[in-house]
Amino acid sequence: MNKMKFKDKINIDLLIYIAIIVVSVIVLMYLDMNKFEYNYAISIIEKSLVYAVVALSMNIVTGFTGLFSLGQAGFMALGAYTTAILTIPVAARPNVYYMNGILPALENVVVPIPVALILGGLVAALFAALIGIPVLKLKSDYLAIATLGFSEIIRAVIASPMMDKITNGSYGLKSIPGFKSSIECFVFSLVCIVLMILIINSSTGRDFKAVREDEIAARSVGINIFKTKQLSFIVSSFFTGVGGGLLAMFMRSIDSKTFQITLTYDILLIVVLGGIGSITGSIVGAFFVTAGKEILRFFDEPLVIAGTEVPLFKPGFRMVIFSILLMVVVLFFRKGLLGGKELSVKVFKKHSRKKNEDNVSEGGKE
Amino acid sequence: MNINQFLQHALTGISVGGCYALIAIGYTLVYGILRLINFAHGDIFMIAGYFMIFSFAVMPFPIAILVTLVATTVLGILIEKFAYSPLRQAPRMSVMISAIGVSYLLQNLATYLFTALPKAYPAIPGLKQVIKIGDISTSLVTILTPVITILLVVLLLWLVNKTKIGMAMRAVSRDYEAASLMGIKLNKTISFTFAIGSLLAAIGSILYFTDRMTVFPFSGSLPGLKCFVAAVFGGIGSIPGALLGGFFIGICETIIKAVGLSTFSDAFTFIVLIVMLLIKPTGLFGEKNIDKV
Amino acid sequence: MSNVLKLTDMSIQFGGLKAIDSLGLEVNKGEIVAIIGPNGAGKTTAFNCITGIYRPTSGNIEYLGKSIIKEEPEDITKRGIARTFQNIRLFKNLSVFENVLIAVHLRYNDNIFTSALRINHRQENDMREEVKRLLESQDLYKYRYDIASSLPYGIQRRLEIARALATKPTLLLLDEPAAGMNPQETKELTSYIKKIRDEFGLTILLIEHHMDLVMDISERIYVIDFGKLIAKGSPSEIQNNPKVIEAYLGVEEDA
Repeated sequence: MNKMKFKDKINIDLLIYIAIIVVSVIVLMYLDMNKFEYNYAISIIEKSLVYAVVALSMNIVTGFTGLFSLGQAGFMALGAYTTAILTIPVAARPNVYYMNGILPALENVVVPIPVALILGGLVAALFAALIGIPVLKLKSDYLAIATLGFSEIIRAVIASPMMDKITNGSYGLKSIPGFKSSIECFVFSLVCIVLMILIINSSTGRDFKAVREDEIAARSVGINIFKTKQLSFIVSSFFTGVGGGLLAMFMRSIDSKTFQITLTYDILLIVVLGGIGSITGSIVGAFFVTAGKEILRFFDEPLVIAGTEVPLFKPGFRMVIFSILLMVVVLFFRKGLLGGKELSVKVFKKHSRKKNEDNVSEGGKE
Repeated sequence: MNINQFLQHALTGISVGGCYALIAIGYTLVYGILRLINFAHGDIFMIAGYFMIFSFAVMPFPIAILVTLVATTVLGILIEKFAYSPLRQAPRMSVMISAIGVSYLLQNLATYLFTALPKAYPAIPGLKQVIKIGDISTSLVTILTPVITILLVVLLLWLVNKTKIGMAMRAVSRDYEAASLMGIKLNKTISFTFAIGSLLAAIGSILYFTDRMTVFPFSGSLPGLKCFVAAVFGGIGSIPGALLGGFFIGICETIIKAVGLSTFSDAFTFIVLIVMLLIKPTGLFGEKNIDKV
Repeated sequence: MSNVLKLTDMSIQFGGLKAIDSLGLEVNKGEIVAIIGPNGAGKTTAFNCITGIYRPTSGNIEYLGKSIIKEEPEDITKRGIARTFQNIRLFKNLSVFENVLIAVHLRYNDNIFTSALRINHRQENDMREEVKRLLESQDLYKYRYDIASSLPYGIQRRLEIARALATKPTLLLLDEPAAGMNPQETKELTSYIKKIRDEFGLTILLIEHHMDLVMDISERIYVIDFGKLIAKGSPSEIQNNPKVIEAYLGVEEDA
């Protein structure tokens, strides 16, 4: 009987998810059809989707495995450059690499976008494996510093003259094929998000959580914590890389400055506001922060009320507000705005179920 | 590279290294006590640069220096009070995120208040004076930095090893709970540690920016990271280790730049970190520290 | 007689301190053996050596005739040694069900692709089914949705034992299972330990301070003081051993 209950619950959740997806698709199709009118809204939605992918990937390693990695910008750069290099139309290349030319081996290499995105993810995952071996084996404490440093190295290498013929050095890459429609962006992001949710809720994901909760206890039930941490870090970096590729498609032109440390901090902001260890939190947080930044854009413009300029309003004010918001959440709402819970029917159902459970246990006691 | 050029670079390296060492000590002290990578430390160093610019504009330089040192120290203490001390019982990751939050806030605040454009750092009279030793010419600050650094480290070692507050610091870094059971005032000791770290960062900032001549909101982030690596290299928690790590990173970086690989001078620091973690994770003086028990 | 666990001349040193000094110990199949001794005698350290958390400085540990001295904790668990901890180490923020579910992972062959893409979802169902049965048999099923840290202390202890059982061990190490329990609860625990020994065909090595439980349950007892074995034998032999009495009285004088 209980098993049936369990199945019912899955079905209701699944139905709701499908409903959300269907509604989203309809809304996006409507927006796509009226592209010119809703250009701004579309771009906010696309950016939010991309950030949701990256935020969730950061949450895998930070929220679910308890490792603090700050290499997001670097892994995104790897994914973005890989995707860009492999998808910029051959005809456009001389124009992109107008200064130094392109490496002959790469001149005519073009792969379909999904393949390029996956390759971008794989490159990021490979580098994650290389950094992870020394750092995760010894002191995951230093992972934050090592990944932050790595992120800066990647940026330096990309911009270096030696990489001119591949990354176009400090000139950056442009003419990257963008999303043909917001639906395309939605589909790519959705696939990533669904895969990540499946991983988090699988036995692998449970191992991640066990490592986060208690390393010694995890080992005592046979979990190899180094392998588990390494796997989590690699998986997370893979999706961060794919997210970087999506960002390249969204922006259509990238350079090494796109991937500064502040990008990592922006993503951390989303993860923390949404709640560390909350899947829905990362997704909702991505929309909240991205849209919020756009809506608060007027904060950066001089504001004139009744002929006098309000002194607070000038460039950078928005980011100060977001920094303060971050500090407030860290200090007073440690579980994020969603309180570490998942937003779903489960939350509501749990309450009623809990009551029943309580009755049972009371009855069971002597 | 002839011998003169080499000496010239070595001197520059030692000077940069001295600044790094002063910042690295801040990381090492804080990590030693709270097991926290204080991501905001590099930004405190950056803000100290702005303090100097603004105080120098309105007052004579000796007072401006004093104001900078005091203001930076107070800033360090305040950050600890507001952003870290409420999280004493929280998981370590929360404190780290709080540190990132402070770093993010300081950078954004600096961008907002002073714009993202670099601001000229004032020339403190006499410091940029050119000095000639044989064929090598250099400025006074370059010679002065390592001297000041070493003097400060000696002073700090005396403080930590011979005074009561130093003993408290060592006790807290050994065992947090036991120390507070022994009647050591935890909060006071931690505040004091942050004060020393920030003061040294302020001194480092004056020496560093006098040489670089400009400050901008992100000028603390990369030096900050490097200095943390310097602290790890020397053995986190060890003051002589931070000194040595700072000099090592500074000198190597200068040499790498000198041979024309400046793109990789930053990368080098992190390779040092990875290699160190592989061959001696406790750092050069890490183990000695444990033996002290 | 076939011994499951055999320690020979095992020593471990931390800096200048010899925490365990050439300890010899044997546990035979199906036995319940207790290690007792004053606080700080090195009992938990011995457990940590057996389970691979610490590496002994010298000596040997054999499990089913094979040396396990160089193995990592997770591999030792896979070989069939499970344990509980003195201060209860559960996955605090996970549910009771998940706590046990994680412990059955090691016996299933899963990788990230098969598990995430539900390629053999029969396996996931098998795992859940197995956990359900185990929780039911341990009278914990009604707590399955509860977060581990929200449970009463006694239930947490039982959950920790259930989690250890989920790895299907041959040898179970219990580190002060009766800590913090009143006499009634201790009595229940005594019969519970015997019950799981018979039901799961276990061999049990336990550390305990409650002498009633130890004397009632153990077939043999080892007494350690200052890292050294000072006595071994049947409960009645131990009760009359002057060395043991001295060790315990000595501690009481200090306290």
